[in-house]
Amino acid sequence: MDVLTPRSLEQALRLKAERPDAVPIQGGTDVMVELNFDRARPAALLNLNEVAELRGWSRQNGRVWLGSGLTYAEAMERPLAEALPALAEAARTVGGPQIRNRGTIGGNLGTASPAGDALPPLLVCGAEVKIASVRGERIVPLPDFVVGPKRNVLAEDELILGVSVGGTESRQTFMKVGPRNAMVIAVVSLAVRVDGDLRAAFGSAGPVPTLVRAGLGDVDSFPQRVAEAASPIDDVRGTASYRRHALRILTRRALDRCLV
Amino acid sequence: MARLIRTEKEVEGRYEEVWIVVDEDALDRWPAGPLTTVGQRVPRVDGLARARGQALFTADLQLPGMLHTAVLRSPYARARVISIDLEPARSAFGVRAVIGPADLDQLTDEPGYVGHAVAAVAADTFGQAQAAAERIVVEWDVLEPLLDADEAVRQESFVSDVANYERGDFERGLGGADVVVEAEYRTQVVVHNSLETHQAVCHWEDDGITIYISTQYIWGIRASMADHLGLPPDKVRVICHAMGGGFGAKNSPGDYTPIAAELAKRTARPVRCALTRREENVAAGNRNATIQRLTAAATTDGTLVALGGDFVNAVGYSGWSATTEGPMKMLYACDNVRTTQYPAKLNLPPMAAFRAPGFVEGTFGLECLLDELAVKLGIDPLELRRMNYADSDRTDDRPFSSKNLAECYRRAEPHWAKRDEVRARSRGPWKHGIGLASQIWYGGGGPPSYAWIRVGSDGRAQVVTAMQDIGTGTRTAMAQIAAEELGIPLDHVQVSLGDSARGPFASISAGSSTVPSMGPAVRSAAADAKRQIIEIAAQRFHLEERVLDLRDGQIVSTDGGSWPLTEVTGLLESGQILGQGARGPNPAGMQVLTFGVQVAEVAVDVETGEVRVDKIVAIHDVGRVINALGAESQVEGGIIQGIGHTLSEERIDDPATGSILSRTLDAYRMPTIADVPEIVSELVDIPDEHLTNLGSKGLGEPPIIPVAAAIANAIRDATGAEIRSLPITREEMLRALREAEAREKERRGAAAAV
Amino acid sequence: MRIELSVNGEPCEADVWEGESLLYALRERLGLPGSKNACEQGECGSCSVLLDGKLVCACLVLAAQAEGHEIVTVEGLAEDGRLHKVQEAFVAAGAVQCGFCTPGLVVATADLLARNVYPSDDDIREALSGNLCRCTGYAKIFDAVRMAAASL
Repeated sequence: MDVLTPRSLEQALRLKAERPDAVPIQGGTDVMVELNFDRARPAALLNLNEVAELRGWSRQNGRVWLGSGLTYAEAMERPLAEALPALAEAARTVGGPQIRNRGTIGGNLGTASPAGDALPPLLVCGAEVKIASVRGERIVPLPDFVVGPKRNVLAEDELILGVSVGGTESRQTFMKVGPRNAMVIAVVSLAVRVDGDLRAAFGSAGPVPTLVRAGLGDVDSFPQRVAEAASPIDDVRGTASYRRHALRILTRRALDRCLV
Repeated sequence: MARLIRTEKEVEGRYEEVWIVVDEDALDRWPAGPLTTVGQRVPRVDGLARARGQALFTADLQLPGMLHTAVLRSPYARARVISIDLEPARSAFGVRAVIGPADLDQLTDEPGYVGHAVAAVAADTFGQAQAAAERIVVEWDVLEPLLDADEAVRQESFVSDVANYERGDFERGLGGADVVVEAEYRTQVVVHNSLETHQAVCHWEDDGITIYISTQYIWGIRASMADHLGLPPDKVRVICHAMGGGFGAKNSPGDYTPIAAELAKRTARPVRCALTRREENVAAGNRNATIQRLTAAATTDGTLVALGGDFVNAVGYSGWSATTEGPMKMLYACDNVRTTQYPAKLNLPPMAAFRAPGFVEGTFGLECLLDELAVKLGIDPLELRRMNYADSDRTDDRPFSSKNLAECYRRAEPHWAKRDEVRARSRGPWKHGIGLASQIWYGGGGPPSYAWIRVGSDGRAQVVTAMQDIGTGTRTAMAQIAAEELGIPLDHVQVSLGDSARGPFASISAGSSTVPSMGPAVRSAAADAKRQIIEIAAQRFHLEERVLDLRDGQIVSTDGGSWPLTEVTGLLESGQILGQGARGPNPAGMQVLTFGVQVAEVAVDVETGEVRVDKIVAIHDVGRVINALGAESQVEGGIIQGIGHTLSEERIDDPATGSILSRTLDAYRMPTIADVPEIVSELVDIPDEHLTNLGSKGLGEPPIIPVAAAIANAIRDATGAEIRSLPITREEMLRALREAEAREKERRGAAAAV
Repeated sequence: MRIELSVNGEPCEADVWEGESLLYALRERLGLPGSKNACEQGECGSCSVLLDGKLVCACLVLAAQAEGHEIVTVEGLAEDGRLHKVQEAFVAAGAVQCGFCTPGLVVATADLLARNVYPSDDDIREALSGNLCRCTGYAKIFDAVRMAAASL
């Protein structure tokens, strides 16, 4: 196994082009579990910790740019937390502080788990994922980026640079159901945003996090529509019928919160 | 004088008749309540080493040349090995030895559960061992597993005999009842998940073996490994200085110790065999699932006239069947009780004792059923329990050595009286309620157990006994007892334990028995040393022994004389005063039990099914309290484990294959600090005047026993919903709410029809 | 591969396997067994250390990622041979039972109090929710954090 540690984005993209089999590792909260449990033995790891260009966030033309190396802990801090409150609330529910200090938005996108906590808030805020390789850059809307459970559109020489997010002036919130008060992988999670329309996105209730939209006049029927948009399964964390039920209740409560 | 007696010995509710030799136990009783050191809030004497990360756990041990083991475990619940090829593992990098079913009894070619050990590899690193184990080629004949406990009962697949019990006449009692309630309760499999996984390091030296092991019973390991290896017991040295939690699962050598011993023998190197967290969740024991079909019947005045139950223990492939029916037989003064217990043998991982095995499960069923009965009778649940108070052990009419459950109930009253206030907190979907449940359990400990004490010329004492501190604070409690008896400061006492080659036999640290078994032996040893010191002081100061005593590090006489202890011990230079002590017998003809009651306040979100525990008040009667701080921590720890058992913890099995789906700590959900309610703990602290020279019983297990029932009863109080199954997931909560709603509708319909 | 890093203020070197965790390197190569291995997936916090001043699970940091960075483990918390106040408070409050989780909790608490001198109960819940303890029931851990906060 090789560990490649680029010191710049340019170097990172070059290494990824040379070694497409290298698995990117940033916070390690997913990759290290695979290694520790001996579930994966990649030929190479691409350590992105030293690539400064991937860090931090900024405001750009009324939108917010989140570097792929932005940690959950950073997403919880003001003023970013005020611009993207649903993302901040979601980040707060991720693991414990040790995980939030290391886990990144880019990692959540790269893993593309149906339970990825950052994905519903990003979906309701119209996130666009910026991807790069030595061949150039491209922008993919988040709904098109995640194509299946733990599958995304990244080519083998590409890295995630970050996401551009809108909706920063809107009312938005995040909710998550789990069997205990912390350290929870979502039984179901939900982000709701009320701006010109109603938007809801949920996790752990279908193969990919899913966005549902409706007009402002559809407040009463929206919870049911969200529940119906889900295609949950029974698994070790919960049943499909409970997930649908919870989505309906949570959507109503989230709307109450956003429409005060 | 040594005395040979035949006595009943109890561990975890299991009895056996044994011969034991005991020394007389004729010390004066200490007065009730906190003394100079005993009964005080005392921080851990060994706490700093742990807080600095310096305590040496088995997991931390590094021996020169030590090898690491990976165990190949069966992926099938029931299978036969048609052929196994170990050669690919033998030729892998770093590998020093490979063993299979032909080499060791603990490795099987007919696995009976997922996780059953089949082969093992020792290599220079764990990673190498793991990689090599994956190369072992096994051809399996996969057989149909038996996974359903009721089906096992139908097929009469049992690990031991079906246990039938009846007193009085159950049917006649039932016939005379005004109100009858029946319900089926189910409890899930939960896993101990101690933070230090099961592990041992074995090292052959000369013609014997040294075993470093995370264990609750170094003498048990010594005996079973000596037997397994065909060695005289003294050729087996067992060491456990610090261990990271056991909760009942670390009483025996498991498969990992014999595996490490065999690989160490073959390689002539020290070998570690440590379970991974994933193995821990499969192959290290568990609290088995139960099904309880229960009946309770009473007359309108609240007198219980019949209690009955069929209890199915889903024991797993092997293990023993805990007394799930125990609370039903023992808690109340009911004349007519009939129970049947079925020990189902299944193709699932074997059970291991887990903090009050059987009674945790049985109390959930019984105490929930009693509340259902109270509702039907229109009698206050606390009152109903008092009406049926047992003044003796109704299974054999033996008197209790002491029982202060009535005092526990009395102290619970102010908390119980807040029912209306708590219910009035309900807002929107959140419904609040209060519930209670009683606790009965063993915890008297027993002989044999021995301790030595040596007092040096500096007047300091060392307690030497080959017991183990499993994290409960044994070193501290034993130091307190010795300091109290010797009248010296606590920091003048050291406790040496954890090594079978250093010190005499000591009891298992299980069954809430450490303090009640070992404490009296330590006091007895200290008293022996004290008697000698006084004899010497009498000669030195030309006084009569009866006027002398030890207090605050001084030798004092009744006429006001006072000499530093070192004035006598200092005469000895390198000489020492050696005391020895033994645990006396339990009181003949008496039943020694612990009691308690817990009151839970909960809130239920009736829309999402979320259950939140706001507060638990725990009041227990365990005789004299040795360390008030440590005791409180035992209560709090038991309650949180109980909350996990009640709300979130569950080993999840694939019902078709018997594979274990929850193998990691993200899937097996133990409570975090964010799940902790307000906990109020109160100990009655009245010494048991018939029990030993201390009057102390054990406290490790009692606090977990009533938690689930108290929470479920509070849920009924809040919502009317009847919980029948653990854990109370949101699905189970919503199911119970729907059922309560349907029942209510039916009742209103019936009322309207009239 | 060889890595250079700072551990508890001392520069040090270790030969590590490319795929191994910082926890493995600390325990098996650098002789620092204070950080415990209990879950290997960042669920239990027993291996909590500070990486450039940030609280992390050493099991989720690739040893190679620590190259050139500063690590503080439980063994490095005591200064000048004197115990850290958090360590003292954990013992005095009775927050130590078996002690396997204690090093991780001590490091996490030290990290909390470095950022927040007067933590509320909710702050404590949030800051320590990544550290599992199977023995104490956490009540005494609350006491220890409050006691340490008062003594700092």
